[in-house]
Amino acid sequence: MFKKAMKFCRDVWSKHQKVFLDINYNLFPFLWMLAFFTSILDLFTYEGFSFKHLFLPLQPLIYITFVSGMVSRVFLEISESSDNYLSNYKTLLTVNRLAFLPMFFSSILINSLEFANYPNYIFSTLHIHPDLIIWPMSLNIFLIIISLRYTVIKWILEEVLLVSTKEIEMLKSYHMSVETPNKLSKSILVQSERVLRASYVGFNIILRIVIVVFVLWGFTKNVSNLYPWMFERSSYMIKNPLATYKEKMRYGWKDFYDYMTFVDQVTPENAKIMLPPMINPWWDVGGKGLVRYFLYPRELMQDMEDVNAEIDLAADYLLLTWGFGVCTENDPPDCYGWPKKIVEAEWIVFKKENSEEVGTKIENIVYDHNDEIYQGAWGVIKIKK
Amino acid sequence: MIVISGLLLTLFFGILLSFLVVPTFKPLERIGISYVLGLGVQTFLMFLIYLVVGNYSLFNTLSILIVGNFILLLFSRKRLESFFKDLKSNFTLNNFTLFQKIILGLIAFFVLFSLICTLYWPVSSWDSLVLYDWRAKLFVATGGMEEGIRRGYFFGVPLMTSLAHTWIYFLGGNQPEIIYTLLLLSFILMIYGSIRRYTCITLSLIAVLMITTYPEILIHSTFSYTNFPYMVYFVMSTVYLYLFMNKVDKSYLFPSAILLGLSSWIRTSEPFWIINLIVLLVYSLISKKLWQPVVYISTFFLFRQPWVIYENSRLSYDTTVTGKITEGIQVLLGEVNLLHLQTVVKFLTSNFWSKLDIYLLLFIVFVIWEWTFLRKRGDYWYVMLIVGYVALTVVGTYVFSLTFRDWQIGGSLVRMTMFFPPLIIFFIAVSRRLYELFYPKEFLEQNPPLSNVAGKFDLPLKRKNTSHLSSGLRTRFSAKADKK
Repeated sequence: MFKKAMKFCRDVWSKHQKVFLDINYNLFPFLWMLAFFTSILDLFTYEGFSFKHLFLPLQPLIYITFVSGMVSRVFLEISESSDNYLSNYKTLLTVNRLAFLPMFFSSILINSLEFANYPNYIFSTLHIHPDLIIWPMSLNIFLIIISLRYTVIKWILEEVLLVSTKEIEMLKSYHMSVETPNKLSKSILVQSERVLRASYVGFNIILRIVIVVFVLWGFTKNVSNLYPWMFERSSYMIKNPLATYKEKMRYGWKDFYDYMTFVDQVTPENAKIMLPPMINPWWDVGGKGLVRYFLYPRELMQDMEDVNAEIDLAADYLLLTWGFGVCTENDPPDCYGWPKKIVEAEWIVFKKENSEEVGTKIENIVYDHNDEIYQGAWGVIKIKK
Repeated sequence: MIVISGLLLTLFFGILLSFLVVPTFKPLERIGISYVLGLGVQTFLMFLIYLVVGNYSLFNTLSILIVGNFILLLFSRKRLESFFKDLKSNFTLNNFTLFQKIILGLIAFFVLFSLICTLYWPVSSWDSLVLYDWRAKLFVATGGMEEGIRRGYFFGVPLMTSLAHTWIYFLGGNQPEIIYTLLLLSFILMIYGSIRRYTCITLSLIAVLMITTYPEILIHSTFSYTNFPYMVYFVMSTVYLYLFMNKVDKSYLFPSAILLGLSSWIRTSEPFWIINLIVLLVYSLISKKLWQPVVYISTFFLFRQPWVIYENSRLSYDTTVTGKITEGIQVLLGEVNLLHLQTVVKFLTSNFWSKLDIYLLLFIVFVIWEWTFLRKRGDYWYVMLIVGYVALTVVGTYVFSLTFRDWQIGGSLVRMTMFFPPLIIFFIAVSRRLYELFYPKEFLEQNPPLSNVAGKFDLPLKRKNTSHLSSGLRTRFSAKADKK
């Protein structure tokens, strides 16, 4: 069935090839302008704006434009009327060429500013999405590429579309034959097996263009998904090429790493430490498996779920933790702060805010988590034995 | 420098192993499989030696490699010489066109980015701190596993990646994630070599570029989760199984079995290997060659069972295949809750279908397009494998949802199914229809694929007149011509 459908398409193509190519040739500049307009609209609003309000899907429109442009250029090149083609679009091509440099440099500037400041800097100041600038740029570059000399088009034909010289020759002879003024010779030629095969070659090339553009779409989709991650990773690496292990871990784990380093400083290696349960807001500090990586060889203990569980008798130390998670309506009202029990402490050491440094130390105190001094506090409690 | 020397020793071990396992590889493809084989078998031997001597140490690991290399060298000295000769003569970029060089440059860029990331960033991802790298640090600090087992959360995932980290730490390195970038590079070389058997350089390179830039693959090649190594071993095992069933070369059965076994030395929780065994069993029953599944299954379990047996001996609950299958069947036969089923479908739609929709749709399109050749070439085995994986993903998620309370871990499903895109891209890249579109029959002779397999491409093979030979010799002669 698929084979029949393909044969049908090929036959329709070979009969009405000239009509299709003429329509495509006239349609391309409008498609290009529509795609460009859509890309600019999304650039200043958000991705998907034009689709939501005008039913213009940006990416499909761009790739249809690419197919249309490639088909126009390749077939006009084969029928040796590309000069005509270029002169018809002269104004559009000239404006596009003039726009290239300003667009190119402004896109570099915009991305550099974003890189030098903070993520979302450009959107918050200029209301431009820096990651969407790729679309008008790609349309601009595409139009420049397809208006380049025959050598470039030949390169695309031979190396990208893998069209052999024999195929090009066949197509050229076909185009000459269908444009023959003599009606009799034309009908004989069109019916001949060789010419029919040549028209099939043309159909094949269009399919190849569609596949190549589809691959390009897949590639850009992959790269655009990778871009935020690559940007984030590389921007830190470029800004801090000689960062230490501590600085890199601090970047990845933020306050949690500071807290672990702090606990490492204030407790001996043979300490037995009790952790909060592994529930909100202590997913990380209550993660026994995670915490042990930083506090080994200390022994760790916890009640996995009960926030009001009794203090383990074997424990020497307790983690005084406010919680990094965000408490919601589903959590109990006094969700933050652990331990919830009253503890007679030999001493309590607080961690300084936004650092790993040891802060105030209070000795011989009874810990009650309702006391104001423990609001937002991070530290270690040494249990009085 | 010491780390590089250690990794080269692993690679050399893999090269020598590969001569025994796969005799017919191109040099670069051999380097790819060598690292994968070397690292997998080396860590597996480290574990076996531990079971005997009771500790992990630099001395033990070096002994494995040095003794292993020495023994293997006795068998394959001549092959090694010709391998280095081939490598020298094949290592040139002059044969590539500008477009191919651009694609190569792009692939190199992404691999280089992965390399820089793994050299710069320390191990910091959640699961590796909790388990994979934690175990490695503990092995180096204590020399054994008892301390780790005592502290809990030690089992569940086999030791392959942890022991690979241990090897780097033994060598004095502190960036063990480099092994993942090297796995990416090996994967690229192996998959390129496999695709190249069926199609031209340009299409092979494009396929490899698409695989390399698949976000899950590239991102996971920069940090130490087990999903990426598992994907590398599992995908290549399936690809080699396809090459075997596609009659490219019978010797692919063995590497496929080893890689499948090693994939279960990385992760045991995913039962996708069952599909490979079932499909091969059906294939062998039809072709009446029952030795094939025997070799395959025994090789697979040789690598899988030691860890599973050890784990079971130390744990109170059942982690064996039979135990898991029985549990799964019991769950499936239980009462069906339609509301729960709806939740599972929703979960699969947002974490499986929405991530892989384009690949699965392309797969369906190419299956229809290739329909006639599926039967001619025996590609339906490959289609059965992929359909089996999809079915197992769906059924497995349902069973998991009924047996595990916190089952809705979307990221985990996405990571688990990251092997679909490379398998589907491979299927598309080796499609005969696609090849014929770019090289129509009349031009095929100008651009033959690397290995012309009988029945695959209608190329006029130049064969000598063999009518005077006996039928047996004639078959051997034509097989040789096919190989050429």
